[in-house]
Amino acid sequence: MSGCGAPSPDGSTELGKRQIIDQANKALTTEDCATALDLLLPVYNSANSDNEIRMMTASAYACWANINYFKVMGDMVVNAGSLSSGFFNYASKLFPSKIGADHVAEGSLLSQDALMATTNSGIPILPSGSINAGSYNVGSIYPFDRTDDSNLYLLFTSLAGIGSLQNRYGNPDANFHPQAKLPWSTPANVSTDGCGYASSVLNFVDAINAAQNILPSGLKSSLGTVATTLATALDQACDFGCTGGNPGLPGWQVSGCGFASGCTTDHKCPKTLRNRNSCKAQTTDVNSCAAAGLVNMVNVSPLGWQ
Amino acid sequence: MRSFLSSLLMISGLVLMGAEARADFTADPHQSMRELYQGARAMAMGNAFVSVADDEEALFYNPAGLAGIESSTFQYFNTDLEISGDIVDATKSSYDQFKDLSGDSLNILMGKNVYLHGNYVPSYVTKNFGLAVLFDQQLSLISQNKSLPQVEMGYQTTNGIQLGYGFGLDRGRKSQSDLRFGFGFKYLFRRGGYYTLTQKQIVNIDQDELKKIVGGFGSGMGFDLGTQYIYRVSSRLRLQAGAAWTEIGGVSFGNDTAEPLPGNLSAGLSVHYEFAHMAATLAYDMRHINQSVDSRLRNHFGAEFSIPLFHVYAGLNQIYPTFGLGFDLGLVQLLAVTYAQEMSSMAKINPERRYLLHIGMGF
Repeated sequence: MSGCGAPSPDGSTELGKRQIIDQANKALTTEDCATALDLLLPVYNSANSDNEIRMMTASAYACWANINYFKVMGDMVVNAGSLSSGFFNYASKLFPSKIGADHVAEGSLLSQDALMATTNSGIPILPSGSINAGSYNVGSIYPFDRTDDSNLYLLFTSLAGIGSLQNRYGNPDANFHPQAKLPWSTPANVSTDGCGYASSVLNFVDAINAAQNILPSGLKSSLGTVATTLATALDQACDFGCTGGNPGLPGWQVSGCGFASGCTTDHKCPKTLRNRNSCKAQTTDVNSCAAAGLVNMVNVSPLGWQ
Repeated sequence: MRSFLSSLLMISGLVLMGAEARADFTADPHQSMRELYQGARAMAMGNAFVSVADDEEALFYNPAGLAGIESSTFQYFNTDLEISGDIVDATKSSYDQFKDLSGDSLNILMGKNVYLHGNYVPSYVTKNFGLAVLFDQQLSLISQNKSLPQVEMGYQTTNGIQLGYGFGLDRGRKSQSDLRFGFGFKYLFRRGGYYTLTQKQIVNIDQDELKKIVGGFGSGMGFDLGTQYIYRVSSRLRLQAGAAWTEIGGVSFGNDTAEPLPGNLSAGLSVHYEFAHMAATLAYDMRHINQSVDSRLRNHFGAEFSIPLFHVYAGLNQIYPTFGLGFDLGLVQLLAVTYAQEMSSMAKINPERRYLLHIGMGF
């Protein structure tokens, strides 16, 4: 009876969707990322996608990013004290990655896309604030548009993006200090990976702020300190990138951009830079200029990756 | 034979009528398969009991079966204790993992099904009538998905009374066939249920949060209808058919946290053969006919073989084997059962193997 051909779940019905989710959960329990993603993507990329499917797809991509939730959470709680003083170093330690050898960076970036599409119901999203407009999973650049669970999980996936891309391009040593500067320090060099890196950093800070009321107490204060310190430094760095200025730090590469008023009227990093596909690698593109400034900060500032 | 066929048609009519109905609650497929009561003997027989329904378990499975009760029985001590097989594994793994505590230690329960259940159900059944008092407590924890933990927590207390009345059209004349009908009524108090925790709850779980999730007691009423057809082929052999619709329309408990009970429509067939001091029963049920579930999970097969003092059971609950061994001294009954139950919405995804011990004392 059990061998009478297992039916293929139909993702357009509630029962079918539930069966797909249950199968994916089983696969992800044994870290079978490929099976989980194969199950979820047909529904994710259809009109039947919903927040539950998006969270599950995010978790399947996060599986590729080597995110073992309890392990990472436990590690962060244990190392809470050193998070604020060596954050970028810590990210490299948690998420090793090599180009062509794994899918950690790809998994983390695609997971972030799915999470940013996990929005509260009834939220209007303008094109200027949307990510992947026209798809079945339109995301929002604003954390307050998203659910608590998606913002909390974004903390993990954006951290994976930061750490994996640093490992791929910064050639860290045995103590996770960089031996090479990240290459995206001028607008023309801001590739898709560079834009993904900048968006991951900003998404990480956004996620901490959005999840402040949800985080366990052990992490709340240390991550809060990280967010506050980084937010100010990042906004200044973005602004230098957009104006073409130089904060006087040794090694800072002037962007060549000419946005005299800064990236935004309030001199913060552009909200649209949360979208990893928003950079055009030109000095006339505010996101590329801001991203270049941000990467310069990571490369040369004492608050960056040293 | 003609009346057997027309009775089967009536039973089919009840089944079709119920199959058109929908539960009052949009229960997820796993929730919709949780039943108020799963008797030890029934579970030993793969939960194929609707057409058998010949003891106090008829109160919960098919009240029409009460019409066939021939003598009064008072079970003053009637308890089931059960655990999941994973509890033993989880306990062993916990010791190893927590010797070397790290964030990964929290993964010890990943992929494990922890389940503890106990009930105490004293009952009185006599010809046509039955009454049971139910005290039931369940604890469960199922964790899956290492990337984004999906944690289902179960904490449920259900207390209440169950009444049943059944009558046969042959009015005890022991004619070759008998068509029986029955109805049941229950009044229940419930606290808790089964909940999939959000990420926010997982990272902030503490006693206060648990109390908020579980909530307080609510109460609700439910009604059952049943029918049973007996055809005595000979003095030794009888064919049985039955159908029951329990918790018609579902039972809600008046608050947001006590898990509602969905209605359950079942139908079944069985064959019973007696010879010397031995008896054998084969049964088949289709359960949860009115719910949108994996069709493989609706099927139940069971067999009981009885000799003086002993009963041996085997079956298939959904698609998973069940076995049982019973010892009946009249005043004391012991029954050890193992069965498995699907804990997800699809067969073969997450079966939970359970071990149950039933102790009954009565006269």
